[in-house]
Amino acid sequence: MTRRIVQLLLGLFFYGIAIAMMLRAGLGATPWDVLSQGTSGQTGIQFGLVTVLISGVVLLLWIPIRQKPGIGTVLNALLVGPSADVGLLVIATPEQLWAQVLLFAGGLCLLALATGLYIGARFGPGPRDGLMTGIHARTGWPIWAVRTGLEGSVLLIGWLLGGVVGFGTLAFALLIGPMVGVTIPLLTVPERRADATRPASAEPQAEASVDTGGIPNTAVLAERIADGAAPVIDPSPTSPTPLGAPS
Amino acid sequence: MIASALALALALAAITAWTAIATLETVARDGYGRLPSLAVVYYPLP
Repeated sequence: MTRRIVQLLLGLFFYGIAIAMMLRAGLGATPWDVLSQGTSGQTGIQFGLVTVLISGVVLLLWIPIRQKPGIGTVLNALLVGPSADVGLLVIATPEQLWAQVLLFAGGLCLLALATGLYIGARFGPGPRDGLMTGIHARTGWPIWAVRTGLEGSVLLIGWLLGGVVGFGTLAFALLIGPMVGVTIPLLTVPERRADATRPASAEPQAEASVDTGGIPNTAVLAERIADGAAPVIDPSPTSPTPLGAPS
Repeated sequence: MIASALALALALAAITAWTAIATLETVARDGYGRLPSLAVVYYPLP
């Protein structure tokens, strides 16, 4: 549990720092950050606070689609914005283009690592992820359509409000999915190993009752591999959230 | 403000970390693109 909490908090902190790096690169932000950036520019409210407020609005949208937030969801809504503000406070925009590209690429990598950390902690998805998966679950619409519709809408609104859309926005859309696909399987905290004293007949039922959120349960699988019961892990890493989506 | 060099060092560190993880995952996969076990990667971590 301690490991999971530390991992969650580290993930959310680095998530905010990664957002700040991409914003400071000045090459275009993620759709939701473009919305926050535009809103911040129009209202004069700090970027981080705007991010928290938007997260709150998104969480309200969870009610009609009957999604239940986890601890990770609430902490995501509360912590990513302030940590982004910390990043914006200390990171300057580079003057040279190559340095901007490097800063953006670093931010993208850090975002993928941070996403792996907080999703892997198994405390629930972020507000925006949950909105997408919730709409998908309630309506049956394809996840790509829900994601495209939502992110396209917030991107357009953010751009109209003055948020920066550019090469970075496109790079994020194309790259973050595969990048997160690498980090989530390796950073997912496994379930506690099965109790050795538990009757063997009880194990399948007990394991089936554990909600891993679709993330490979590495400890249980490793144990089965050792027993020769399960040769491999499913090659396609899955997560409870659409890969590549922001928090 | 953090000096540009330090911010870029953070960016390089993030790129290196992600590349290391991607390499680990790629190397660990078998000929069919499957991961035999993640335990080797997980258990050395705190």
